[in-house]
Amino acid sequence: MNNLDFSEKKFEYKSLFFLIIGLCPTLVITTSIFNSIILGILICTVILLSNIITNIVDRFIPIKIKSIINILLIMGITTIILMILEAFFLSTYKAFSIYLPLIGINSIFMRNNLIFSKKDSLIESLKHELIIGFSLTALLVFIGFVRELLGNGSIFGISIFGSGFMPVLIGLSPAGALIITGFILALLNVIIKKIIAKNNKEAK
Amino acid sequence: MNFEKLIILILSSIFINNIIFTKIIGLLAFFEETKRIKSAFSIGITTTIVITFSSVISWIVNKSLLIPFNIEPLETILYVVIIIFVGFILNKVARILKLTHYSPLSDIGIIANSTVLGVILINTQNNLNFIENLMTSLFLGIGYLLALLISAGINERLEETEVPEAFKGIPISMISMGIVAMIFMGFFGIK
Repeated sequence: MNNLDFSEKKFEYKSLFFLIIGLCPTLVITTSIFNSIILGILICTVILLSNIITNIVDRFIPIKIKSIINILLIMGITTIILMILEAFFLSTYKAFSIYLPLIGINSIFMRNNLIFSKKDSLIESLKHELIIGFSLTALLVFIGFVRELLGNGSIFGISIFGSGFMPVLIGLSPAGALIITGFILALLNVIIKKIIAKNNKEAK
Repeated sequence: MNFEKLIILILSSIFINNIIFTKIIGLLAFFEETKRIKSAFSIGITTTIVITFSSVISWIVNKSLLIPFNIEPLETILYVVIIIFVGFILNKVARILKLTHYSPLSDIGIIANSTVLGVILINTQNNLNFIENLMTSLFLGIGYLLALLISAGINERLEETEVPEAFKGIPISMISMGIVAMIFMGFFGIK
């Protein structure tokens, strides 16, 4: 699957769709850039580790129970990462609470639909997942940036507009998260369309 | 549990703590299945049934296995196993009863929904008793069904309107969901 190839028209809808699926359980907690960066790192780790381990283990499992074993493996990896987070970064762990295990669920879904190509070698699929992980992180950071700027008037906790600024509180609420993400995705749509048009021109 | 408390629990599960509009869990079904009201209804009912059963089973597992042996960190894996199990059993039952409209029950579909796991985790965190747990999960499921129906209705109307090119598809339905979520924020004051 070359969904992430910009020259293909397939890119437009399908990969955008899967990026949002990756986003959805994390939208509530992206209230600041710092949170978004940590989330992005966590998602990348889960996706990459699960790809490597399932790729190695796949050869030894009968095909009938493969999907269930994969699910358990990915949830196991998520649990290990959660335990590490709880041990060293307790405040972050408490702030994210129930949303972290859901990352595992989503990476199962993404694995089953987006990156599921048995023909690819390990390195090929790792490359795909790295691209997906990085674009997800970039999207999360952008959403966090806009939400922090609107809802708090600051970037990385440093006030930007001075004391006279009235914060737009909707930016910090779940409703604001949905609306802002909608606008950012529309912007992304425009940019992707421009890139595709440019590529087509060069091809001619 | 008295009657007054029950009413408050129902209202707060459906409106105030609505799983989609205040927690944003389980948007997957939102964008995939809510093109038509009929399909939204069937997937909502299915999810509600799975949520209720697996929440009850995981409450029992949590109280009898996880807490006595002090292995709470393993809860996520066990809950996923329970959800797979419940989905599998319901799938078999639906096949025996020949419910053809029951098709959305494929195991991955239910698990990737992430609503089910989300509800179980929320209930575990709040440390409820058995009846509270049962009622909360049932009515959170009904709240999810309500949200799916609202979004299906909006999507059906949106198809007839002229949306700007860049907003077509997911962005416009996300923004409209955000506006509905703002309406749901109005329920926050009720306690």
